[in-house]
Amino acid sequence: MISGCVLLIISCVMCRKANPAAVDDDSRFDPRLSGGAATFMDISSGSFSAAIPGLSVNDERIHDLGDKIFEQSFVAAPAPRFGGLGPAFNNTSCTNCHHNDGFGLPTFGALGSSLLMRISIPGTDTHGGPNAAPGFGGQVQNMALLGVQPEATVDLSYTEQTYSFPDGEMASLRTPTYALVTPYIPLPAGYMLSPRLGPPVFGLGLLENIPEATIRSFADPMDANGDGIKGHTNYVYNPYTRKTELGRFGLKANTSTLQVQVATAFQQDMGITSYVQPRKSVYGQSQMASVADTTAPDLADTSLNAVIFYVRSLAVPGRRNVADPQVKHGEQLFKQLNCSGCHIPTIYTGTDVQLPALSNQRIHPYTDMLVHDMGAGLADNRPDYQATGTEWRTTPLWGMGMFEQTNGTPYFLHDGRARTVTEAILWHGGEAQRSRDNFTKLSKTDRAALLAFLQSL
Amino acid sequence: MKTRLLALSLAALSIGACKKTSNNNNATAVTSSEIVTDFVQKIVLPQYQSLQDKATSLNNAINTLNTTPSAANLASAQQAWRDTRSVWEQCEGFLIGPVEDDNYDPNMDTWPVDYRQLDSLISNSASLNAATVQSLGQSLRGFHPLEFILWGQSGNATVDSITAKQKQYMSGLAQDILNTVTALNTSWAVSAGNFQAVVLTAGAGSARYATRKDAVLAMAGGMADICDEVGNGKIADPFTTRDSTKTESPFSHNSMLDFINNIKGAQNVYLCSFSGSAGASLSSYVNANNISLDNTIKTQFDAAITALTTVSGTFETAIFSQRTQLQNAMNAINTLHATLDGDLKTYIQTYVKD
Repeated sequence: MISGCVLLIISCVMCRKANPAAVDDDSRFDPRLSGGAATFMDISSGSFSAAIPGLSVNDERIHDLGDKIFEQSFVAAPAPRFGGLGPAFNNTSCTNCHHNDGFGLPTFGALGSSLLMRISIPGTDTHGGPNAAPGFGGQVQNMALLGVQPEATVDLSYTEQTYSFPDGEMASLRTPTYALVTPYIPLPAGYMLSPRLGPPVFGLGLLENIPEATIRSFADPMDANGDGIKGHTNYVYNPYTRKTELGRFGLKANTSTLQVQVATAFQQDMGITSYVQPRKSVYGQSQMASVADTTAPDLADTSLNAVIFYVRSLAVPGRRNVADPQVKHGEQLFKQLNCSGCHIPTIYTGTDVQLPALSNQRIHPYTDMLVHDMGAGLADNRPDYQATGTEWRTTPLWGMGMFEQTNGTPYFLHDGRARTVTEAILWHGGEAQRSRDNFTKLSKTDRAALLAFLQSL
Repeated sequence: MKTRLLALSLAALSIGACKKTSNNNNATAVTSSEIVTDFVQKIVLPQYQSLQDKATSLNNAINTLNTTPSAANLASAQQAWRDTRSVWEQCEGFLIGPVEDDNYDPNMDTWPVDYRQLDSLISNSASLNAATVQSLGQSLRGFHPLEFILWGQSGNATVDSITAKQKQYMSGLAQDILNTVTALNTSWAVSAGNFQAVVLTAGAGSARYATRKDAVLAMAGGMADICDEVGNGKIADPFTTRDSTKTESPFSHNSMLDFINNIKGAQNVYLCSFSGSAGASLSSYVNANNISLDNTIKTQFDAAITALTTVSGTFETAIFSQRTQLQNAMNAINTLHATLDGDLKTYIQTYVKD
């Protein structure tokens, strides 16, 4: 019986590969279902915060438990509850950076701030990853408990530059400049920085469940098809399994699993240790002599697992206005400009026997999960495994039309420099230069249609 | 008590059944535009103003306590804290817009208190004021550290037990709360953040609410969310684990009142009624096409509040000694939540056409 099922599934997959056009005929599917069965239809500030359907009572309870820990402010140890914060950290709770499971503010050092700064020195570590800066590690913790000096604070300033479309419409692009000030020890020579805005956390269970072969099939590092796009995979070290695996998460695809993503965020962003990341982020620093190498994890294993399950089981917001002619026109333009060359509209997830809503779903994440050269304007010039200093992972576009709902003011790109979708498109360079240039040549009506389409996601 | 309520709701149901056919277009029916307008004018703006007034009184009371320490002034500072808290908890019936977007809520209402850092703060020589408090972590800002000092960790603070440094901290905390509340109030004001325009222009150019239906759904969502938080979080967490250290206002033992005010806050939104002033309500809007649903919601609000008032002791002891009453209260709140999240939203989806 079971083997019969498996055979059936395999044969389906084979059909799909042989004749994708027939199966991918959009008219046969409801275009609103961005996450397949894991889609949530709601227009509110909670649009990113719904659990996938079909959870068992037990799974639902674990999801809710993870939800609470995600929202919980952590405090200094020893504490009766939720201790372990710091000594140096970037923020005090998950939700402060991932507001309503979306993003936070593109600022440093305040409680609603969602930006963090990665740091490294030239060369690679033993696993091919960024070479940690001595005394700072891989990330600058710019906040600290009372009586502890933050590793450094970050100054952020912008210079505005006006861009004129060929038809005369104006846009203003702001270029950020970052500077580390008041470091607790002198900064190492040749240090490299990379700012990151915490991304939305919904739909990640679906992205984790995309078969590795599917992602590899999108790669075209030699640009064999001549479209100017040379996306490639990033293979990264997993500190828990101690293996090199396909990178999926992080803005440079430098993390392979949600388990490591969540545990590392706890450890690096909040200083909270767990069974996956058992060592304090500040271990070994000169002002942290009292921090032991191994202590009991701050976070109970069940708590970490609950938060991992929480982000794995967050549903994707469904699309709106899909029948609107302007939106439909915008969707055609999205394909004609070959935005869809990287922001791939439709992907099938693999099998997940535990969570049916994530299993074999036809989803519309608008990402290929690959890293691409995005040009000098966006470059951080800091390599991260095989992602070079100009490369970034294609950001999933699903849910981007809900940012006003979930966050009030939307911000885009890896550091939140773009305040509108138009600005974000104009920043695209490198492999996306051709699409970006063609966007600027569109008529005002067509540009508005493209934006309307993106707003419907 | 319960039986009487049940009888009432049955009566209401039968009335609803009779009226439904003949009263679909009654003269008093309100429009979706009116309910959104009155939600802003009669609920949000007056309550945020009231919150600012109470926070001002709290700030004054703390300053009086600091300059003239006396048992009476401590008592009135505690009362001012409770009064501010009472309005704030009612404001949690509509956690939409800037209060959520700009973290005003967590900035003044985060628990647990960070005891360890609070100790280092108090023992440190650096002086404390509103600006230094504002730069602290959320667990060292807002209502709960102030509560911690005003009542003491075991609820036995006296005028004499409050140190000079704690006074300084209290003063900074009260001013910081006032600053947060003032910023929240002005974020809706026409002269500043003008979020009221975002709501009022729903369906007519609002970036946030493409249709008026979205705005009305946001109102319903706010009501449902707070019921969910009280029923499945604030009460359920300490109750399920039998752990009194997990409660929200453990020093003042104000938790039960907090819960009641949360539900009342949602009820205010539904009835569009606050402090004796009423307007075009969601209730009337529902009543126009579904009297039964309107009566159900009203009854369930009353039932939830009544169930909460049957808990006689503090919440911290009730989780051990009055488990039946608390379970009944959670049941009543969850029933209400299911109606708000289900039937009410369905009604709005069906009947708000603009």
